[in-house]
Amino acid sequence: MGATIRSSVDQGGEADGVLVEAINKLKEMQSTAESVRGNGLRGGGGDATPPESTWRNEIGDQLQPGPASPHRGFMKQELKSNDDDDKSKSRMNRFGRSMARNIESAQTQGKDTTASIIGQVAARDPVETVGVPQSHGGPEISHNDAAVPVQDVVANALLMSAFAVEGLSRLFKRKKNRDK
Amino acid sequence: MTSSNVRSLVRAVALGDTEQAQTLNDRLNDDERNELGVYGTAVLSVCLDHRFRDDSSRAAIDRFVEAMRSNYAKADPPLKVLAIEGVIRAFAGEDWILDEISPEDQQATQLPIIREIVASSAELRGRIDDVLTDADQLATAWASEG
Repeated sequence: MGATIRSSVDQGGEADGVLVEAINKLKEMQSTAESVRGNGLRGGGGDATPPESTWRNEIGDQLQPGPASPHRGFMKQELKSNDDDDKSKSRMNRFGRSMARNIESAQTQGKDTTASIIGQVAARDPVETVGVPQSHGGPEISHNDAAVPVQDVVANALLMSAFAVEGLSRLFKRKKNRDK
Repeated sequence: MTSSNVRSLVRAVALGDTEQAQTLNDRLNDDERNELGVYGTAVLSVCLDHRFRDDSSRAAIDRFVEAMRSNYAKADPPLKVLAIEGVIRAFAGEDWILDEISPEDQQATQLPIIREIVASSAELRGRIDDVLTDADQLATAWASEG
């Protein structure tokens, strides 16, 4: 059919735009078919049976990712992550239950002991609260945050004084020069 | 469900606001003091899981304990560093070590370890309320199982 149309156009027949378009379409289909054949979807020697590795799944078949499939890699990763979560949960539960049981069986930690432990924590420095969300009960400001080392304050004061002296002496020099 | 005083106390300690923690400690009633032991354990478990999830080797534990020893050098009374190491190793799988540490010492390690882990993790500080809620769920689950 393609040949007939082409010959009628070649022979100077009145080829309107639709016909030209049809021929182009036909050429396109032809080249697509050739490239598919070249990619090996058909076996050699005109055999229409595709090689086993390129068989398409039937509708309803389950997807069977190949050994190097990224899908399988993802599944493995997900399984590993789930496995890690399970291990982590079981470790927290085993340890936590055991410790909680021990603590519950002993005498309750008194107010003074808790105060002493909080005192130990207070000895740890520096306190870092950057990026901490405020609790619903209102702002919680760590008083230690405002603490600035004394040596920093002194160093800053000295630096500022040096700048001030330098600035003043330049001013006086300029004034003297002007007076002259 | 953990009482808000207990939760706020652990939160304040975790973030280093020890003045507020002391104020809250003064307010705890007897039930809340009992609760503090179990809830502290749950928060400790969540924090230890965060800190040692990827690497709970002896070397990693040693590094952590050494950092604690150094950071708490001024603590008075001094930290019981051996108890801290034992608790972390028990968490990492050497369960039997807990039998060698008195319950009082086990509980005494909780708040300093929680503070150390939270202080060294911007991620934990950023989602401290989620950590406390996760711990609350853990503690509730343990209580319901008896």
